[in-house]
Amino acid sequence: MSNSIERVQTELESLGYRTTEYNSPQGRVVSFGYEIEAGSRRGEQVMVGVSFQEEGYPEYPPHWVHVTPPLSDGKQGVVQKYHDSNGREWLAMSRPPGDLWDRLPTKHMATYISEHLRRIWNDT
Amino acid sequence: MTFDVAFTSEACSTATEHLLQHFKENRSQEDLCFALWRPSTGKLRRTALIDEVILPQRDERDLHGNASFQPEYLSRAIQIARRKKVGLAFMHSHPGKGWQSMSSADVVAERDVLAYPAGATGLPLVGLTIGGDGYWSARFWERQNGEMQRYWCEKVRLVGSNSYRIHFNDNVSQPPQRRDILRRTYDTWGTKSQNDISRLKVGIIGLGSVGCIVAESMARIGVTQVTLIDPDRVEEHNLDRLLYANANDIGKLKVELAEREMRRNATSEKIKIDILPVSVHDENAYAKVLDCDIIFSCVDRPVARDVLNYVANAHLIPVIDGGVAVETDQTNARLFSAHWRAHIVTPYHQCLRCNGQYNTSDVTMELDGSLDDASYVRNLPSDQRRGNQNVFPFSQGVAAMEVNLMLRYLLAADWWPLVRQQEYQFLTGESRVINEECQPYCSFRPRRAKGDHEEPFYLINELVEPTKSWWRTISAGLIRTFDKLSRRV
Repeated sequence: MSNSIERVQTELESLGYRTTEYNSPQGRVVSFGYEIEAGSRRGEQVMVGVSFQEEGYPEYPPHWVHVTPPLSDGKQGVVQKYHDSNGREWLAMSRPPGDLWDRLPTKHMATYISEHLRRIWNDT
Repeated sequence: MTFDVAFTSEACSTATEHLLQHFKENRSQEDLCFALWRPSTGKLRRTALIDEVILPQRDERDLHGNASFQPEYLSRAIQIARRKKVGLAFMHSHPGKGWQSMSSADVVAERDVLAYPAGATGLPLVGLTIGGDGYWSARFWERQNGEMQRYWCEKVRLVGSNSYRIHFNDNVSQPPQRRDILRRTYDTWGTKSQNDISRLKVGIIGLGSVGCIVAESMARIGVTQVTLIDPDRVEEHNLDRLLYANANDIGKLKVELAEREMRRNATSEKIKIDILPVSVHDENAYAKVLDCDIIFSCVDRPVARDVLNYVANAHLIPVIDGGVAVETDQTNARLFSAHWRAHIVTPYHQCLRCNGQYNTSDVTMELDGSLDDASYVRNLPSDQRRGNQNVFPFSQGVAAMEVNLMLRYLLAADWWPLVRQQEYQFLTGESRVINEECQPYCSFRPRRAKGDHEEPFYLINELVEPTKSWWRTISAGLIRTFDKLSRRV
């Protein structure tokens, strides 16, 4: 198991999320149940995943956000679809937190979720 | 293997003030102190990075014209070094000027009294002397076949906010003979400065339109040791910007083209050029970069800039970076704006992340191959797509700005105003100085002078596989040809 994934899982579990791992075309994914927090889809339950390089987290954040059911955020940017080994369709969106991550005082999945993931489906 | 010492500005000021305090009061009194050092290990050079001085406390040293330390002081310094997992350096002052040799008493103190106990840190003792003129000299004491051997350093580098001073050991790194071809250069900044510039080990990372002009400048000003790193080959679309390249050069390695032209135009008697046709995050290239005294970053990729950010901050090797930004009015297909800038990167200058040259997300996108995937790049939002518009005169502008920034950093007196970054606006004709600092949570501030302890996590070895596959291709080709010929026969 890579250092990044191990660390992300630990952080997510410390926040109360149950995580699973699988392989995707965009690398190893850590996924967890997530309730969309803002925008017109607020309150919808989805499975969200982030995929990682082997090392470097938390200084280097993931840029792939995976979601099933495949809910697009309707924004510009790279989007790829694939199926996991259970036949579930996922949407992988390249959504780098480049505008904020390097300036955050604390680089942790708590801030990744509250500062970055929160805004992805926010269409308001 | 060669040896160097590099100081941070704070450590150098603290040590200098302490060691020269008596000379400044016109008393003929030497002094001493200990310091901590961390290793920076290149391909052919080991550098001791000094960022912390351990000043003596009351009664820890005796002053009697010469100076001596009490065992308690040595013991305290070793304990601190062991706790921090760093090496021990011993410094003392001499009234003389320039690079100092050692008296027999100095040798006994360092070799017989200090070098063995300093070995408890796991690193060799580094001895330093400062002359009355503030000129540093240094040596490593390494154990070889059971005996302590002294290895004189080639130079001591003092990295500051407004100046970069280098104290050379003329016995190890001899100044070149004056050459008439360089008389105008000598006339401009004098023999001492020319001797220092010519002995610099200069790295040029990226031999594109800016890098090849920087290389030409280095050849013309008499630099004698250069490392060129770039994995790319000349393509047709490079010919409108790549100095000296023509249609016959298409397909050649850019480092080979730059090397050929540097050899042709060098004004020094001899020039040593190392070329590496790999990325700078290849571990061999990274090690070669750590042998340099100053580096030109002429790259546009985030991973390369991230690597050089490590080198500048953790290894105290100043990096001069720059770039051109051109915006075109898509509707009218006309130039809308253009500006270029250059900046120095050291622990005393804004790092490349904080000054917006790249961010960590760019690095991860390059590392997982996304930025090399044409369909990925095509679908990026327009604000994330990097433009590649440029023309030869703009590249000349950036290259000149980078080279002049280096020269100013090396040559200008400390009292001139600080110049960290420079920018030129093509349409308004305005140039300005920018002296911004890193953001409060910059990841590179804590990496200052940490040397080998801080290394990018993504170093690779490109030389192994390409070499193997190159041989495989050649040998497979030979076998196929042999088969065909055999069948014909």
